[in-house]
Amino acid sequence: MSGARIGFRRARRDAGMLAAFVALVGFTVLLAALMPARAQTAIDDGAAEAVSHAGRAADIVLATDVGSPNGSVPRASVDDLLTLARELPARLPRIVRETTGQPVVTVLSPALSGVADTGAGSRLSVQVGLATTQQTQQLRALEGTAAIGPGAPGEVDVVMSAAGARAASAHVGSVIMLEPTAGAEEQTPLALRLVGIVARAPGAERATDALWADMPGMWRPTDAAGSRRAPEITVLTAPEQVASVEALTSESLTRRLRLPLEAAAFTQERVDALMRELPALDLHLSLITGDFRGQLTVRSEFESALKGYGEKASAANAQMSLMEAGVLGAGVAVLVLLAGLVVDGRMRETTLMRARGASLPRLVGLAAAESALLTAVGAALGAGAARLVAPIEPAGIGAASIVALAAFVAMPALVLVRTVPLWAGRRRRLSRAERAAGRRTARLRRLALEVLVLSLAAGAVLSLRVRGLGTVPTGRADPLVSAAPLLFALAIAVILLRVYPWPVRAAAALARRSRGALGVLGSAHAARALRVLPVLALTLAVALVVSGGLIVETVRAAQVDASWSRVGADARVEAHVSAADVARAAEAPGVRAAASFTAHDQVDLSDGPLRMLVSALAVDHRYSSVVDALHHEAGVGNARDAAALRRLAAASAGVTPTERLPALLDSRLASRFASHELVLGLGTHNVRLNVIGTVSGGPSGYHDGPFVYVDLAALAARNLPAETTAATTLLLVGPGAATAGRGVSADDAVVHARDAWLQAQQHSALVAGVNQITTMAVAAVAALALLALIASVLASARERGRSLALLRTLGLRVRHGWWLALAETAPVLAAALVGGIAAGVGIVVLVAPTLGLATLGGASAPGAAGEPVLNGWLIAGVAASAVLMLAVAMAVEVAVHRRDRLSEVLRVGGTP
Amino acid sequence: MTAYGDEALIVCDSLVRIYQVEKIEVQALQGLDLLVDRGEMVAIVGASGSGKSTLLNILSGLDAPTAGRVRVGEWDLLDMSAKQRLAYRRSMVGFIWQQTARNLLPYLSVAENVALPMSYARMPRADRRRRVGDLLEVLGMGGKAHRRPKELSGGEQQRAAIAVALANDPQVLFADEPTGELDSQTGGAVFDALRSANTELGTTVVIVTHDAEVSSQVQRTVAIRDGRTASEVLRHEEVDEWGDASVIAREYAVLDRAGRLQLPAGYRSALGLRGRVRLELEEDHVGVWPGEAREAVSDER
Repeated sequence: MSGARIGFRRARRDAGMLAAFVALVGFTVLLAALMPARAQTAIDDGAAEAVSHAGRAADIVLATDVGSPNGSVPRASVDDLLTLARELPARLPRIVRETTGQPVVTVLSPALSGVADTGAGSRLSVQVGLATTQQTQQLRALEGTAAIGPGAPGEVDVVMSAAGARAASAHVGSVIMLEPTAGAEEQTPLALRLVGIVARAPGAERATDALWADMPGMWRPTDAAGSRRAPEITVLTAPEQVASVEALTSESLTRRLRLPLEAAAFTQERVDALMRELPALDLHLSLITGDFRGQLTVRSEFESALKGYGEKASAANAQMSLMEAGVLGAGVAVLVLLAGLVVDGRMRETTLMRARGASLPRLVGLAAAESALLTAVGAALGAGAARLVAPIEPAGIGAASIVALAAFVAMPALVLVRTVPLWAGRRRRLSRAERAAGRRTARLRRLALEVLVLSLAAGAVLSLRVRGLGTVPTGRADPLVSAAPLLFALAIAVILLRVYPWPVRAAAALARRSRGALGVLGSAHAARALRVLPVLALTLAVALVVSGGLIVETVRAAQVDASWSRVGADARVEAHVSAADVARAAEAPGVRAAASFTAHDQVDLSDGPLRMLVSALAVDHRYSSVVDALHHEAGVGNARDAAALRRLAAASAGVTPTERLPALLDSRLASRFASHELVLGLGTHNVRLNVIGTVSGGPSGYHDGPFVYVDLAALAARNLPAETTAATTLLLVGPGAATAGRGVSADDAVVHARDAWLQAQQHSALVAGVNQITTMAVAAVAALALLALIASVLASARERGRSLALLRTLGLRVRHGWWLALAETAPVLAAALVGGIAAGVGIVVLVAPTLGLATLGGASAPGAAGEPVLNGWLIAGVAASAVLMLAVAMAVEVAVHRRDRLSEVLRVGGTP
Repeated sequence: MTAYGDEALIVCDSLVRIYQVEKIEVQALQGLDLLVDRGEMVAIVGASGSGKSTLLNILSGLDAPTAGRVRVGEWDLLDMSAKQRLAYRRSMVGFIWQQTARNLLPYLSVAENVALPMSYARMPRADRRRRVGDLLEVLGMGGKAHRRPKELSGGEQQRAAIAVALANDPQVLFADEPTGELDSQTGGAVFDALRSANTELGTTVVIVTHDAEVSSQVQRTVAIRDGRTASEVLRHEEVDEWGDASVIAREYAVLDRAGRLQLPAGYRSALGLRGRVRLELEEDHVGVWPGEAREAVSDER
């Protein structure tokens, strides 16, 4: 009789249970493979998003605008630069080549003074740029032509944008006479003839912004209407005319070769690689520039622009890996539980086979062969399904392998564990003292194991809190972040196993006083229902659901906090605003408070030799109302600050320009400066201050700080330059703030709406990824918990069936049969619920501060902790779900015993 | 000097087995002695909790005594490695349990069930097939070799179980209440099968039973009381002068190796033997006298 045949027959009989095992292996492998892939996609999308947000400042720019035309340093010609642009991509390091687009050449003159022949001969500040082939291909003529020719003798043909033409009051055919600058007086003025008014090709504005990044005046000229300044415009000319323009100035022309970053090409790995590569690129520039004449320097703000991404990605990665580890742990626990169900269901036959002479290796081997086949099928199904959804990452392969290994080992290991004690034939100790010592040893062994688990959990949580997330690169799961919550949940389960008997005993004492038999029966069943694996699986599942939900809540709360900090109010308008604008905005519908201020960052605050760089905020008299409204509406800031600002406004109202200007310091400054009489340096002016109080802080979400507050009107009365005392920021609080902000009439107004910021944050790739992974994990563990519950009900169903049959002969009503199952299951579920909620809250309180939840929420301060949010509704929801799961488990129990035949159960112990 | 039970196939010498259930200790065996000779068919009887199933578990190698010595054939059950224990189960002993469903694998046919122990013992395939056929024929199950256990009656299942137990030609067959689930007629057929194994195959059979019908049909019945062998009933056939055969049963009390003897309850109550008794060594027997009554008679004289 071959083992294969026995295995096959046995498997056919247990097909339902084995199919459930295969499905569970497949499901867990699918999750294990898919979650890291989804996490990596989120992190990679976050990288692309961060590069996109960094804008053109992060581009790699090779600049040659050094030296002078007459200097000893050789300078490259325009042709040299164009040749380098053509040849450069092939010479670039791979990571730079893969992440940058076609090089963009910019040659641009310094601002030259010119006079247009239009109107009253208005003066202009003109920059002449080279029109490269790339740029001319993206132009279309609105008037005249977009094709720039060499021009008539003595003239240079140029094109300009419609905005430029408006600013210069020029039209096709107009001539602008450029004058030579100091140092080139021997040159004659140069006539620029406007041959075309052009626009970018429709729809190409965003796609081609890199082409114009180094000549912003081309599309956004400075219109000086109403000011004394000359309009600043940029015009384009043909390559052969550049020399004529260059001759007008002693300054060198800007020559740049821009390697525009392609945001879509970025992944987290490429961000890291490019960060490593950029310093090397600068050092080994000659290797890629070849014969290029002239000096090149590499400039890029890539590293500083992407620094925030690294922190956010680490935080997101930590949270996602926490969820992944939890799902993996719960999945493996339920797999072992199900394997135990299969093994226990076969124990009678295993015992028989052992009695008939089957060796241990043979029994274990049979289980191993079966398990290998089931695991292979399940893993293949899971991996195949995962592959259909997304490419599997190496981390996913690792996690899926762990699941597969656990699934494979579970059954043979359980067969080994359960079979070894059978037929062991070990002699028991005779002496009572020896037996007592044996019991003591067993108790100590259990205690030692429990202490080990508790110590490991405490150690993991402690070291995570001490070291945080900083030492593990993004994109890789931090083993400690993954292990700490699992160990914590395990520790809670260990405590539960210890504590469980006490409340059950107390309940049993009460139950015994009840009149009916159900109380006694229920308490007796509850007392012996506790099993390690179901408790662990359920505790872990509840802990993960609770911690996942609370983490999402905490991130959401951190986002709201960050939105107040980053925007400063419901809306912030960056624009030159007058007092009338502010008054109008304050009266707008839905606006509860409005105030304006101007900020001067990095200015000196001194007290004799003690100096500090500060942000000076000159605020209008309404500012306290905004702080007050923020405090009452959003719980941001405090009432003391509003009171201090009101005092500032009151004190400043009567002060004369010769007196010290009343000021408030933020608490950081107040602790540094002992004196009340300080000096604030604003440009070339020193303003003497009289500190009349302190405030808790300032708008650190968009200014550097530390902060000094002075009154705007009082400052303006000090005969300072107008740009120093003009309000540049308008803050609006209230539901109508954004609308009112958009109504501000200033041309250059930029409106930051808090709602829009919040929405953008919530839809950012990293936050969306964390939310998706958390949702996926919560749904998965809920399913696993239900399965664990059903499996634990099924595990004891046979024995309960026998009790039930016996009790029915003693008069128990058949419809009360489920009571026994409820008495066994409900206390375990309740224990797991209590333990899981404790573990979930504990994970969030103890571990979450190190996860950078606030950073992910968009907080401006690096490493901001983010206060854990404990949402009672979420916990109540988890408890309600547990009740629902219990109802499902009871339905399964009723279905299992529906076909029990009383006589059969009593005779042979079960219904076949 | 020969050791206790040197010649016997099964030797139990002062067996003690103490169970520990939480903080409660139960002494299932309290110095039990038992010898079973090769080829015997022995029934072990006793009240519930007397220790008979514990004894069978120890003899099966399923359990180990707390103290004492136990040997089956060449196998010292307290000094076996895991490998030896496996060989013991494969070649030395066979088992039959009370629950008919517990003796057979439900998803194998009768023939496959019988062949299973042989495959564990690595018997060649041809030999296996032949022996399966022979065994099933001897036990009257030849026509049902390819049926599954659920397609058999309880008696047939037990006969199939006997065939399985005999598969590797063990020297001893242990049967725990083999007829416990069967009616008397079916039980009789199963007992006949066990007797066939004993007489035709020469297998020593040890049966634990409550069934008086069974115990009355074996050569020797050992009664266990309070974890000790209390008495033995030996049966032999006598033919009278008219040539009629009849079975003569004689009950013996068992004197253990420590010199302890259990008097049957009937004797004790009939003679008022209680507490302290007086022993008197006579020429050919030992007299047991009630302590106080005897003292009173002496005083009258």
